[in-house]
Amino acid sequence: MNSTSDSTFRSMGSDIRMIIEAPLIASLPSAAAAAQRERAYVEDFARRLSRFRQDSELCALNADPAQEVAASLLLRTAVAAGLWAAQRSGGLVDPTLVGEIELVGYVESQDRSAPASLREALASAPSRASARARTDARWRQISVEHDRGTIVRPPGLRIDTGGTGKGLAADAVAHRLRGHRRFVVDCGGDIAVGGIANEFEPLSIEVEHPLSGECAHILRLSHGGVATSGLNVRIWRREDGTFAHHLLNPSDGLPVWSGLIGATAVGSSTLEAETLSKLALLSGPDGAREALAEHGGVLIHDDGDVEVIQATLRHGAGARLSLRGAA
Amino acid sequence: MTDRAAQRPRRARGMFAALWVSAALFLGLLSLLAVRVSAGSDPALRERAAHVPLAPRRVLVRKIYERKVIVHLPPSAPPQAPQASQQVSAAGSYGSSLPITRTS
Repeated sequence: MNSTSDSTFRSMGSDIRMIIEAPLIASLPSAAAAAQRERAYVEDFARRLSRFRQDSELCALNADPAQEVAASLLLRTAVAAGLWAAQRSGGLVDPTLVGEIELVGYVESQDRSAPASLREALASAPSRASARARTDARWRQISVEHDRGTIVRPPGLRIDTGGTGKGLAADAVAHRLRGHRRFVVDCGGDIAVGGIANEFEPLSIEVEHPLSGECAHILRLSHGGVATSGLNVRIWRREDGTFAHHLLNPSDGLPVWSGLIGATAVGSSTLEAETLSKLALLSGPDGAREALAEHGGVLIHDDGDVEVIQATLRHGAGARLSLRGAA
Repeated sequence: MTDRAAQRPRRARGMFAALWVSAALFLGLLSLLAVRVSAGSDPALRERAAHVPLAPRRVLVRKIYERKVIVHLPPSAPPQAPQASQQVSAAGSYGSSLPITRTS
């Protein structure tokens, strides 16, 4: 059946959209059947890795008093992705900031909460400064032992895979959709694209401006991923009247006001794009230009100015990230 | 004279007969092959001769000018989380809008 499936559903606290064209191989499921299958996969992914569900595998890991804990392949892959992001970002994208994010008020899912005003938050925010990694680099104490099927970490050191979860999910679904003519997997704005048709006609992706909601720029992508980090959605007002958001400075555990309110990154994979976008936003304008130089991207400054960073590396020529299958 | 000695000429005759039959068969097949090859129907070349030479490929070079108009409509109501939806459309056309990367 020569058709395209375009489906949207709610999961991982975000809108998940999958555009899947017909398979190139007759034995593969139709686009509609593949969409149903991948929706079930994403929902299972979210349920097992949620920080907000006490029955999730992630919460069980964080509550386990043992140093070495048996973990499924999905959980091991998610933790490994978080550690990869920490390594790639020099410790700025840190998967161990669970206590810190709870201290600033992000204890429960904010899926249905209306965000606070970003303009008001910017007006009352402290002076701008880029984030710094923790000197003790706690994430280095975590290791994933695929051979033994375990995760090793000091008991009590909690892990949050949420910072890289959507990118990983998009990559995993994209991997499972190999053989389809074209596919787009959009996990709340973290987007994986692929398929042979995209190589001939790259897909256009709009970058949403965090202040106006309008299109700030259009990127064209044939394969790989694109992701956006920003301050406009997970932002709230605390009881003391100050504003907080979910992107923390690892060195002091407080929200970062770096001079940027949004950063969009292109990457060889969506996980890489998500890592680079967070790295860019946490680094401030100068560090962000450096972070995005390889694959390109878009920066949105505090005053709303849009800055497009052109890629120095032809996209797709870079080293590909190797992920173990997250089945 | 033992039985073994009596069997020797019989065995030799059998060997000669087998040799003659083999040689005759070989010569017969060789002759048949020679006749076919001289007539132009070499069985080894038959498969290749059956191939029709490929016509030169025609390459059509053309430029495609594509104009995209993106219209942003102001929301008339507070944005709501979309209900789960799935639509199937003709290949290559995305029913709604372009993918959007945004903060989530």
